[in-house]
Amino acid sequence: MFFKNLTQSGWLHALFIAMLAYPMASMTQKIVASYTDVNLLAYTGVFLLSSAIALLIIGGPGELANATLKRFETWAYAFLQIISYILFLFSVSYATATQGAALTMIGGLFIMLFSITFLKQKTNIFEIGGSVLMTLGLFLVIYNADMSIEHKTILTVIVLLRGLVVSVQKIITELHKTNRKAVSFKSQVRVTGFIMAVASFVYLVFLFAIALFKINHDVSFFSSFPTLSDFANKEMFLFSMFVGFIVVSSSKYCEFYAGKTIGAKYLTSITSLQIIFVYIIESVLINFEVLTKSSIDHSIIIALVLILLGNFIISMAGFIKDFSFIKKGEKQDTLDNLS
Amino acid sequence: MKQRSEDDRRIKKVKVAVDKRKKMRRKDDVDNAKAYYLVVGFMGSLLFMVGISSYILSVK
Repeated sequence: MFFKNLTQSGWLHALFIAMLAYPMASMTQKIVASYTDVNLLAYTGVFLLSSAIALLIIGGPGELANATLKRFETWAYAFLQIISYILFLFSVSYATATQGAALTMIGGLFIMLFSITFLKQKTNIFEIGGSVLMTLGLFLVIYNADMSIEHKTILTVIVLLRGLVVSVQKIITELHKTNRKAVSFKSQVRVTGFIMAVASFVYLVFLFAIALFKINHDVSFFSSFPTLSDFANKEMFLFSMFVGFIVVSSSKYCEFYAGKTIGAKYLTSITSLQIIFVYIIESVLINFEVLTKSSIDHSIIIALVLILLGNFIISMAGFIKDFSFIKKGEKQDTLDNLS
Repeated sequence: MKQRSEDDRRIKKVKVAVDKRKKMRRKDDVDNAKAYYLVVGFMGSLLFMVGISSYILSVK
């Protein structure tokens, strides 16, 4: 009985994303980047498309399909995804891989602020403590970055903007009206499928538009964007089909389920812990000589640990708060204080 | 007599409301099915196109 309640609580879904789905997606991306000449943005577009198809096939026709397509949140999620990728490309050009990994984990900080101010969610001393640790970590990453004041300012602005965009995306998973209405497994999968269909469609239209623009114009910023021929790559197609059908579809389903059950705040803090599992899987793959050892920026290890610790404290605080409800088989409404 | 005609009217009103709701639900079901097959068809053909072009270019 307890396990059934725990499964329905959304915590296991979030843990699945952090332990398996995200690390697997990130490892496959690394393998694709190391062994093939595949364009990663085109690869992302096709795996989003495959994930949408997989989810729609499992969900089948039924309720909430039309309503999800018409929802403002569905389209907002899709457009924010593009902005988030552009900001990610900007941040990569200023920060190292380790700095990038640390900076993407501070999304929890923004969601924490959003959930307190806009969603009127209660917070406790542990969550505030975790946020302070994360702020300290963020400050250390930027302070220790080996770059000029001007570049540091640009990096800070990009990080803050990206944090904001990703947070709004996660908040959408919590607020999305039809996602909250979906009760059965099939409805939940169908709603997620429609959201992903819109997200992949908008994303692919954007990439195709850039690819067409690149035919006649040579803009240096668009150099990492795919050309039309990048979409016609057999290796890219096979890899993205596999990742989209299995990894991304399950992770997106879990993301939308956990978003509405445990809330965006705890979902983000748990999924930020993925870096630990990425490290474990990467070490195993390096051992089997599938991947080559990537360099770690040791100057920000303390900052990384602080951000991780902050996220861990916030997620544990949430789980402990939820535990009594899980035992009783009750569900907390994260938007209770809104009305 | 008056009571009976009032009851009839009330029953008729309820019946009309139920019929309306049924019609709305049926329309909703049809719309949902249309949206589903349209999106799956479109997304599927997009993926098929990317797949076919990948295959053709790799054979060349």
